Amino acid sequence: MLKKLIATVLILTMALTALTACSGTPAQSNDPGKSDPVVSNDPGSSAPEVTAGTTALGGTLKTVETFMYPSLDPVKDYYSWHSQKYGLTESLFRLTDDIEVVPWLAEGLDIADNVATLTLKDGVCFSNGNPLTADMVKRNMLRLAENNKRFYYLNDFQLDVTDEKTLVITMPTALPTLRNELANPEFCMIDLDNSTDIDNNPICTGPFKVETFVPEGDLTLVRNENYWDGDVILDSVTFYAMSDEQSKLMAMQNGEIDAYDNITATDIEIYSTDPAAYQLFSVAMQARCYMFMNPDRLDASIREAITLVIDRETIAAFMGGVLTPTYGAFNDDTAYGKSQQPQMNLEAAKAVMEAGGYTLNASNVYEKDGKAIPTIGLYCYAARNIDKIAVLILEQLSNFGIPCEIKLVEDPDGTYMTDPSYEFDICFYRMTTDKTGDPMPFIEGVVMSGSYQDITGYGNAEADAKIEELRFTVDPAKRAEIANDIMKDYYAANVFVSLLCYNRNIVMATGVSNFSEANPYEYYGVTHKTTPATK
Amino acid sequence: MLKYASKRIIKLIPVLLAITLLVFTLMYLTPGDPALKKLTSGGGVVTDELLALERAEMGLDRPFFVRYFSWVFGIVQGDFGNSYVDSMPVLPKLLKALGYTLMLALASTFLSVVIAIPIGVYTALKKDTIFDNIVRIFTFTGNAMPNFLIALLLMFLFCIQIKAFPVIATASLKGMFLPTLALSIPMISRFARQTRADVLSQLGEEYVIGMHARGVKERTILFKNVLHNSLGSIITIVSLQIRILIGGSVVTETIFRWPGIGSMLMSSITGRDYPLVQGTVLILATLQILINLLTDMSYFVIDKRISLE
Repeated sequence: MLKKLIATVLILTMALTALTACSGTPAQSNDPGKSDPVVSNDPGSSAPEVTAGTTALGGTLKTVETFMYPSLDPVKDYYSWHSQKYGLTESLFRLTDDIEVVPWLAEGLDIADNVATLTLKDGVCFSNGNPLTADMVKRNMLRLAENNKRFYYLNDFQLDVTDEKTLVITMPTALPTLRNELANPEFCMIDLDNSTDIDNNPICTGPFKVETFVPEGDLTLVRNENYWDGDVILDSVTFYAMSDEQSKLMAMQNGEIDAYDNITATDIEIYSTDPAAYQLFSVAMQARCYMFMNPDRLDASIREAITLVIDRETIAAFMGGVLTPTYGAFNDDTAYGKSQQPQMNLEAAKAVMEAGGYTLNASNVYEKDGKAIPTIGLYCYAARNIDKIAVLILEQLSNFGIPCEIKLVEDPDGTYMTDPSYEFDICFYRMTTDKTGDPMPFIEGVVMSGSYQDITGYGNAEADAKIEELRFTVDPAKRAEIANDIMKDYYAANVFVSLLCYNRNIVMATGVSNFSEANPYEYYGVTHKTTPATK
Repeated sequence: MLKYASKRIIKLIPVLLAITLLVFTLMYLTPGDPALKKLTSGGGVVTDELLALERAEMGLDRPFFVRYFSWVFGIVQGDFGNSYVDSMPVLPKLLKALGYTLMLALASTFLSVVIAIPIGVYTALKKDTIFDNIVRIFTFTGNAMPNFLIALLLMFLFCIQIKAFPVIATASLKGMFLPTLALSIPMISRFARQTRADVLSQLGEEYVIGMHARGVKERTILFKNVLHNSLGSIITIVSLQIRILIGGSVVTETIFRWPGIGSMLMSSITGRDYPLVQGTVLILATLQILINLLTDMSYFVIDKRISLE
């Protein structure tokens, strides 16, 4: 009887195994043919330009996204950042790899005081072949104003269509950065007359159109045969939803995906051992980790010394390629990023401490009037490596003679960033400091008195006056000059320390190119020039 | 039994109400502003006006009890509210994810029971033989290994080495195989050890010796008495495991892209998606209580001497 029972159980188990092994799975795609040649294992370098004229059309690209969203409607929340990355939508202007705003769907924008004239490129059309008109741009902008709170300000704009390709925008006050605003991915265009299901299948202008979309799941796009900017190389692109880094690594090694971004330091190390199969790219994004120092709790000498003690290079090296040192809120190769903070200089830091009346005691702690510096709290949170950065800074400051301790909070926005009564010494935060190629959003949100991130109380009348001047200055050179001036004063106050940029690390199988691997903005990805992996 | 079940279900109501209050209070006290989280998810700067607008739209500017009762009344009417992250209704999301989780939990429990109980019985009968010792090594190892390690090892073996399955699985029967196996391995180990211990304990009882003395057949003793009498503790451990699986297979779900409730709960906690967290906890708590009830009732079914009262 027992033997029979065991036999029955075994048969049942085998049957179950056989049953599961026989069922189909559309996602399966083991492509052992992929591999081979040419290695470009050069972080920081850009992929070769591939044009449809020189490259055979066809092929597919498979990639993964950590978060997939329930809708493809670009006006909702930040969904346009993803729809643009998918190659589905395109904005009126775009940001180049060098953070320059250039026309995309638009031909140009002339700004004269508070009136701007937007002209559209000839030949731009939706994936259904319908041309993009100024009226459709107006309706899309109104829809954005209605549905996304970050763009409510558009409700104050008057939009007049003067002809098929021209839209006149009258603003309540001059907005010199309108071109930059229009480079936001939200300013993309949908054929509102023919898109019957915008959440799942919007008709847009991008090189690809939706084939299948599972909300919060996988997305497959196919070539837009009516693409306005030339031939689209790939037949299709698939974005799989996958959040586990180990699974992504194995899928890449198994040839089930061809490229993905935001790879971890460990994975960079693994991929770099096989340059014949993988290309690695690394570009510093505009997302930065920075810290604020509280002038009410740390005197000027200590704050200045801290800015000179932090060794960003060592931190970046320790973190294994996921961070890049930064000495300002904006890249130093931009016109408005010329004001930067000093690099590490321990001798200068010592001199600052001594000038402030501090001496190093036998315990390697600075003291003044016989009193050692009290332990400084480094308030941080466990996300985006911020806690790790804080620990490394703790080490550097403690070695120098400024004792520190980590104060971990669950949510900075519920504590030190919003609660005026919350007493912090040094706190950490992370933000995209240059979202649209202009310094104004950062300055307005961090430096200006009473702004959300003016938590150190730096804001003052002089800075505010300069900010007002910046707000209405149109000339880019003059804007840059004012911005540099504002930032110079801000850095001199030693209440803010820009620490590290987050890197956009991308791995691509051999053959894949033009995946926006040199662009510092995470909302660019697949283009009509993207090529498939080498078969 | 129906009367007993009805009584227990009625008693559920105050428990569930207490759970709603507890969950809601905990979410309320959790630091962090969902409105701010939503507006800054792209990393930009937020103005106070924008924040106030978003908070008003999400209902976060209302007093605690107004928000609580509005949520509870909504639940009574089958409306669990809308997600703070994507503004979609919570209930359909919850039910969809729960379906996947239940599917995985039941499949892995079934597989575990089917494999572990015969092994447990056999090792008890063959106590201290080579087979018993080999099984002991495997069960100890299976018990000791964390789920994520088992999942990754299985993925490496079946997807990378053997290439029998894709890493990128879908929520299909084939896609279910590896997560089921990953969850089953530790369960098989636990169930097999428990069954072995129970059967051994029963085999040493006087009634078994007596039955042997009376010449009752071995298999009759084993299946009609020993195994039957061991069922109580086996059911206890099985129900305990199901309860753990329903809310706790987050890692396995994440690794295998299984769209279950565990991974959804984790992402909703990090995203400060309070309606989704509250709804998930409430549903999970209800399920835990119902499984408890079913477990209690099953004790009565297998042993009539147990009083339901």
